[in-house]
Amino acid sequence: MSTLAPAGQAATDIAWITWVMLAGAVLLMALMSALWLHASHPARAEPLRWSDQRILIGGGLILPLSVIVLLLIYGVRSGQSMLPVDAPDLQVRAIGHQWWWQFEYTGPDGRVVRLANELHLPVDVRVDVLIESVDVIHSFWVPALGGKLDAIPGRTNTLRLMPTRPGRYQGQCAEFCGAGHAHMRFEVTVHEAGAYANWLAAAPAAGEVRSDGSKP
Amino acid sequence: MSSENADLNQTRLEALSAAFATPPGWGRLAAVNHSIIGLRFIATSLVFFVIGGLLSMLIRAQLAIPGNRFLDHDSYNQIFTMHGTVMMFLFAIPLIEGLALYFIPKYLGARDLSFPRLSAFGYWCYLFGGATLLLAMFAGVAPDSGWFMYTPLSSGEYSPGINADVWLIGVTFVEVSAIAFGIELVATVLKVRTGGMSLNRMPLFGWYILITALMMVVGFPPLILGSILLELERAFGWPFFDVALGGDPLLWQHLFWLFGHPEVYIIFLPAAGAVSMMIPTFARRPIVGYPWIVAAIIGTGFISFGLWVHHMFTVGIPQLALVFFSAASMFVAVPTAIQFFAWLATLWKGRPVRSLPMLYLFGFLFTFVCGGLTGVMLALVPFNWQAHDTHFVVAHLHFVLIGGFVFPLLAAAYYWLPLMSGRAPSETMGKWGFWLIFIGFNLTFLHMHLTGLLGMPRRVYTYSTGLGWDGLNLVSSIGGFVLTIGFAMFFLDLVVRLWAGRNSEGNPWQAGTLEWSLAHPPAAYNFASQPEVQSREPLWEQQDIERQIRDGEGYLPQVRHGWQETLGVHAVTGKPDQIILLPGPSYLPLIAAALLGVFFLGFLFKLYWISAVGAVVALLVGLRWAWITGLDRDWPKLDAGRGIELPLHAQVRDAPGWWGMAVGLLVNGTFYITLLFGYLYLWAVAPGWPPPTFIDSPILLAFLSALAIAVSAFALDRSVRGNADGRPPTLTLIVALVSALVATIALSVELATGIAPPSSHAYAATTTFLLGYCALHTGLTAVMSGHALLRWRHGYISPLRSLDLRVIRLWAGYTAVVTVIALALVHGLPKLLGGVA
Repeated sequence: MSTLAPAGQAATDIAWITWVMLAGAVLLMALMSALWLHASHPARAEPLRWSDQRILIGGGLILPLSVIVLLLIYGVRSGQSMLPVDAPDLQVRAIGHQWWWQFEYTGPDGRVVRLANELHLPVDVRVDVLIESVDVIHSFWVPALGGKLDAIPGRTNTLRLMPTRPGRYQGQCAEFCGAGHAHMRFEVTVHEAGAYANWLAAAPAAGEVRSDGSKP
Repeated sequence: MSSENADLNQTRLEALSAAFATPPGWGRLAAVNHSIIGLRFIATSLVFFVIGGLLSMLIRAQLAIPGNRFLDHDSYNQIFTMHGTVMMFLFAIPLIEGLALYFIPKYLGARDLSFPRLSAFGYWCYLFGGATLLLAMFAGVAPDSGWFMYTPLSSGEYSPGINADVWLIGVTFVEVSAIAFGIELVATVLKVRTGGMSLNRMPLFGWYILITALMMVVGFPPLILGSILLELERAFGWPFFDVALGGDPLLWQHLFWLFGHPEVYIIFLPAAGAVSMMIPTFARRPIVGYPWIVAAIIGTGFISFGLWVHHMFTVGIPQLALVFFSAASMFVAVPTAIQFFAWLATLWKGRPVRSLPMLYLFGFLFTFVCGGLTGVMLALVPFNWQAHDTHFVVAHLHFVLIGGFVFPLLAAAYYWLPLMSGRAPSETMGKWGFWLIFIGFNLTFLHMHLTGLLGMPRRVYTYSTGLGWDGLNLVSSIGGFVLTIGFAMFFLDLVVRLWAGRNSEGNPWQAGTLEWSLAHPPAAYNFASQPEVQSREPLWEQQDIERQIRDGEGYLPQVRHGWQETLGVHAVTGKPDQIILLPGPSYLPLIAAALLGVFFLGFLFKLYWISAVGAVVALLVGLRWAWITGLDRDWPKLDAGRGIELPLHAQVRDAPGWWGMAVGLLVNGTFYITLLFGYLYLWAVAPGWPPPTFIDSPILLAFLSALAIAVSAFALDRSVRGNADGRPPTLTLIVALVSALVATIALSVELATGIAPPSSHAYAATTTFLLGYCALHTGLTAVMSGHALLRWRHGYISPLRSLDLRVIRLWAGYTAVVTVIALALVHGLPKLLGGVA
């Protein structure tokens, strides 16, 4: 469930962003604390002789602005690459209910498979998850694969994922949705190339769908 | 000074004490003095802080181990919702209000605020609203949808109980006090200062509070509107947020965060203001970069309204908007950096001394910078997609709020306590408290960033083992208890000191601002005479100023007619331009707040006739309140001391009352613009449009309403001008009254006949609400015109005393503009955008 052990493209990119920003933040923290401790120390040497302008322009404008601009360039480019701009290889519907997820797959033959709390994806394929809700707002999140996106009644949000490592991962609802929020988990299986088609062909048409909201 | 003069001075001070006294016993309920009201706000908010803190202990106890059965989901959801609600609405904001009410007149060299009764009214609203939430919690029906109450979870269908109504009604009741505060403080900072205090000599704390008050004036109306709309949906089924009937749950999120993000800066800025007062004192030199800081405060105020969407990065909004709000969210770091480097430079260029407040200020620096940096991280959209709604955000917001609010105010508490309590500081327990709080805080929240990155969402009442969260949570829970012990230490220190501390007097920190010239604790009238100030740090720059104040060599040294007087100045230059007569103790604020409580409780228990009665009686009390203010005869200019004569405030153009109405209309206008935003937003964005039917009423009716209210506003303008020329305003006021009534009736007819039932579609609901808003305003214009007519007949209005008329003219002008715009939109949009389903 960790964002720092990524198994998908977006999650990998974001994990890098996280490490870079954390390092920068620690550096800036250390700098500010050191400056403050020195400046407020009664026994330090002579008062600073720089002009007010110089300190304020340097510390108040140039320092934050340069950090922000660099960060924005990095972040916006990276964010752009995570959006579903090109056509996906595969689409899966994820429908939030209080308090479970329904996943809907359409096979190449047009057969529709519906499963509760069980998401299956092929590795190294661009997947669009079409996220909807039938009741309150939920949020679809598989930390190992990528960021989260809300399930909002009346809308369909599209989340682009691309798993890069086969395995089993955990997903969960990230937006508080009432009594069962803490238990609104689901299991993600990323299949080896080719294995996904076999799984889909063998999957029961309406696996474990619960309509009453009881825990599957 | 000879002993005879000393006796005379003593008599003078006793007269001041008598004029500013609050009656004992039950009479305390009538108190309006700013020090008393300020202390009440502070004490009440601290009680709520303890309650909020105990709730957080329950949260940490539940999360200490995986699969804990200490709390079930129902109690946990109520507890975390109440923890957030209490800390934000009942602790942080009211504490700021209390400190500003208490200190602003003292910093500005004034004797009280511009509208003392208004702040007393605000206090009662806060107390009653907070008590409502608290009683609901003890009854086990506290709100449980999270402190930002997202629809549809908080709507009637998914939260059928009274819980969500408690939140909407209790918080709105409390917000009345925030609005009262905003109006009060803007008018006070601009008008009620001492002579010579131009805006650029004003202590920075005054600037911080001015901008904070303006932000409250503009920031709270969206929340109030949202709460009213959601309560209307819950109570009467008006589907503003129901997607099946043309509403949109995201409208709530926009309204909530339009308030919610500025709120963070509303909390931070006053605390930063306290920092900006303490740093120069302990650096023994004036602040570096005063104009830079003022620009930074104003910049923060503006930018903070442009980044609310960063709370909504995961709702699925267009990339371009994401980039804009991401950039805005980061740029708010710039004014903050300016302030930090100004503080740093002040210390570095000064001769800093060690002190207990400085220790807490280090805690502030470390914690708040850390929270600011994680804030910049969260502003980066891709990172936000992962970290949003996890414990990373929980950690971030506690670093920002405890770092940017609690630490600086702990420093300020130790700094200000000698003045407020008359008791000298003791270092030992304060140091123990600091280290316990600092270590406990970081032990709770520092590694919680990691807990979030490891995937733990916020607002889960339980979690399973094996996800790497167990140890982290256990340490957080232990840290939470250390933190609590630290706060207990602080409160213990407070009690011990108030009880048995050494007496304090003079200027213990050798500060440079006026409040330190006061007695410890200050007298009810603050200043024995109001000084003429010539610099930003008068106690450092102006020799002998403390003696001059004490011996009555400043402005308004004498009491006449038992009046409470304070100086009014030109907003920018600080040149004295009027003598403001302050109102004395009164039960009206308490009665008005209690009646407002009847209105709100009627809504809570769905007894709408009780609400209606409460509203009508409250209006009558409001009219009575307005009736007994002002003067019933003209006065000549009066001696103001230091050789100048000034008119009374009721006889000048630029009276605080006029500013009060102007700021009040800013509140109202923000409410209205937010309403139009909601109207257009639903039209443009919500699924389920166009509606089955549009408005269907004769266009002539709309023209009649618009014409009538325009005539009313025009007639009021004529009555102001006529009155100034010495002509009685009787006829023009009657015309204003009648035409405002005609407009009200025409609007009501349109409401009753032209629109489908509001519960049928969000279009009908918003249109009804918009036209209802206009009808309410035209109706009030009529009431005010009638009130002015009576006031004129009883001699409260004269060519010199025109404030009543000018205030109503302002109101009527506003009403005419909003009504005409609303009618144009309501009738024009269907033709423009058309297409009935």
